Amino acid sequence: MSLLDVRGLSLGIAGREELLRDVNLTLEAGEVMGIVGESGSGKTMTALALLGLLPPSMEIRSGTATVEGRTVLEAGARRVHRASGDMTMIFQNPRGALNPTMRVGAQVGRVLRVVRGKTRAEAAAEAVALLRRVGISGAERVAKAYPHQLSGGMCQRVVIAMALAYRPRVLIADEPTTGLDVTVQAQIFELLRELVDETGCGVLFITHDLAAVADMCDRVSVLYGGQLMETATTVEMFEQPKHPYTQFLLESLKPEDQQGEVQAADAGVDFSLPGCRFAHRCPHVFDRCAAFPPLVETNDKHLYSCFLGQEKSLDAAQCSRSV
Amino acid sequence: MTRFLARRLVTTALTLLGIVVVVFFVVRVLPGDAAVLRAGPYADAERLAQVRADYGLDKPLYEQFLSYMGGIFHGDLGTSTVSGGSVASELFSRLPASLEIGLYAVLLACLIGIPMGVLAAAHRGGWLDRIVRLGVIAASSMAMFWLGLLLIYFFFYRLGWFPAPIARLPADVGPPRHVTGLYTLDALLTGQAGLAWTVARSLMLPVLTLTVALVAPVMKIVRQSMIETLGSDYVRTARAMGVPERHILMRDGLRNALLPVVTAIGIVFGYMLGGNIIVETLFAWPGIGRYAYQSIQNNDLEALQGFVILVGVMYVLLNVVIDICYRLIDPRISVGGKARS
Repeated sequence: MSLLDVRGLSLGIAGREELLRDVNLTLEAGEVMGIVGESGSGKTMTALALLGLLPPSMEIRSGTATVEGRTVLEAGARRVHRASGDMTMIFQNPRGALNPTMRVGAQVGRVLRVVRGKTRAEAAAEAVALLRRVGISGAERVAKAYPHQLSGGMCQRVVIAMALAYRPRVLIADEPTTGLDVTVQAQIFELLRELVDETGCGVLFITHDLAAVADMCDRVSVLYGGQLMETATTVEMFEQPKHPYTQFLLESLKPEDQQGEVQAADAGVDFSLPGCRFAHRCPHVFDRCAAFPPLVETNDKHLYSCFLGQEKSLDAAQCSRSV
Repeated sequence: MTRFLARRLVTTALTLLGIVVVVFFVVRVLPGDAAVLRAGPYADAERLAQVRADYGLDKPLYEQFLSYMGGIFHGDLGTSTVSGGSVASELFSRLPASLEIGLYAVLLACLIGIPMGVLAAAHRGGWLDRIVRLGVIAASSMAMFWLGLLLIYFFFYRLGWFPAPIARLPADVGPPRHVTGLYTLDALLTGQAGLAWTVARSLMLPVLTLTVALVAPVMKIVRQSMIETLGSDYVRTARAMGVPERHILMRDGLRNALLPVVTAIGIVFGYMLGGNIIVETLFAWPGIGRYAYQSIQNNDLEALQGFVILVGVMYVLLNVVIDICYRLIDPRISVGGKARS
């Protein structure tokens, strides 16, 4: 059993077309899984759905998610009651993620009180210890500071301390270093990695930065237009990408004159069409792409969602979802 | 904080000086002649000159101004040309009556407006939110004199639930012993519960009229700023960290929405200071608003001037209080007066 198991997750704006279609993810304990994609590919929506924090206009059409076998998401339900400690999330813009009128120590302490049931005094002492744990020097002093008195990197450390107070099995990190200096970014990555090794939690690491993926992640999932394109170990993803979109994504890292023929200009995904979401930009598009491609597994744990190279193996059963 | 207060004191003094100058000269350009009114329609030229001399109206304008300024420093706001009494003492004897309506109305507006605004924002788009929004539109488009007349018509004239709109007390009842000047408070302090109830019944209609006008902006701004804070990143973080929604509503939502709410309450106090002219006239309430109305009708320049200056002073002091509140509410506003980003 995987730590986190997301199956067939589909989301949409109520009464309109599906935005996220049939997304499948697994995460093991102690693993960092990157979720890569452009803006609007559905990375953050997936995360918010898992936490029950979707904006009111969005609805879960189908799918389930479990953490260690406990259901955390169900189709139709807005917010499934979570056993506290299952899952939490850290966000980009760390300064904005902290309450401006609350001392940061109190914000960490509040999580300890409401989730761990600590008393006020215990929480205050433990909050300082947690701030020290995330590498803040002078933790006693910083605990009494307000967010506006701290740098962005410090604020992100405070948010990570809050997440630590929560003791999640699954931590979702949504572009946690956007807007931070490169050196601070490296420190935050290192801190996250340490925490994974220490607590054995799993991390969903949402980013559009492929360099960060190479640094941080054991495995990667690629999203485009709300469709899961490919999931593989980081090494395989970089060396043997199967999906044309993944190949295009990696090409974009090369110097411009060596890039392939994929249309870089994104005309925008038409979410009302039933077929592959990448079809309108794909250089290999052919008639079958008008149907939704099921996930196929090539070898252990390398999955991708494309009809290319799988004509022979495709049978009617696999096709059933697509019509 | 001390440095802030010292600087605020200087700017406040300058503002007050500005108010006095503007008010003095604006009042002088109003049409009509106070001396003619004071002397009566049958006065001859000699009597008129006598009146002018008595009230210093024959002196050049700058001299009048200087002696007026000199008086202000001794708490003298001049003399009423109608009653011949001191404007300052007439105003201060009427102030408690005005404050009694105004404070209850502001208090009531906050007690209704803040919870309703919070709940409307928390259940945005729900039935309560719709009622609140409708209430805001209805209350802010209601003319105060019209509402007051309706209340008098139904609750006094038709139903007889409240006493006649003629004063602070029914004609056959005497006021409580003077302690604060607020009759409800004085009656309670002197242990006259029955009298307090009589006083409260006379207060209800004017307070209700003013409350309706004040509650709309409070409700609107609380709702708006709550919607903003509840949609913020820190509220999302708190939710992701498992903080209960009730706690988020108060500590993350309302606490951060307080700044605009305090501003709104300040504005509402301002409305109250001006709005009491209509309400007091309507209910024959012996407060400073009615005094101002009568002084305009009688061309009683110094009385009118005294009223405007008194309201101006209260308004400026109110703003000082609001500024201090800002500093207590928001740690980002530093003592030096500049907000750090």
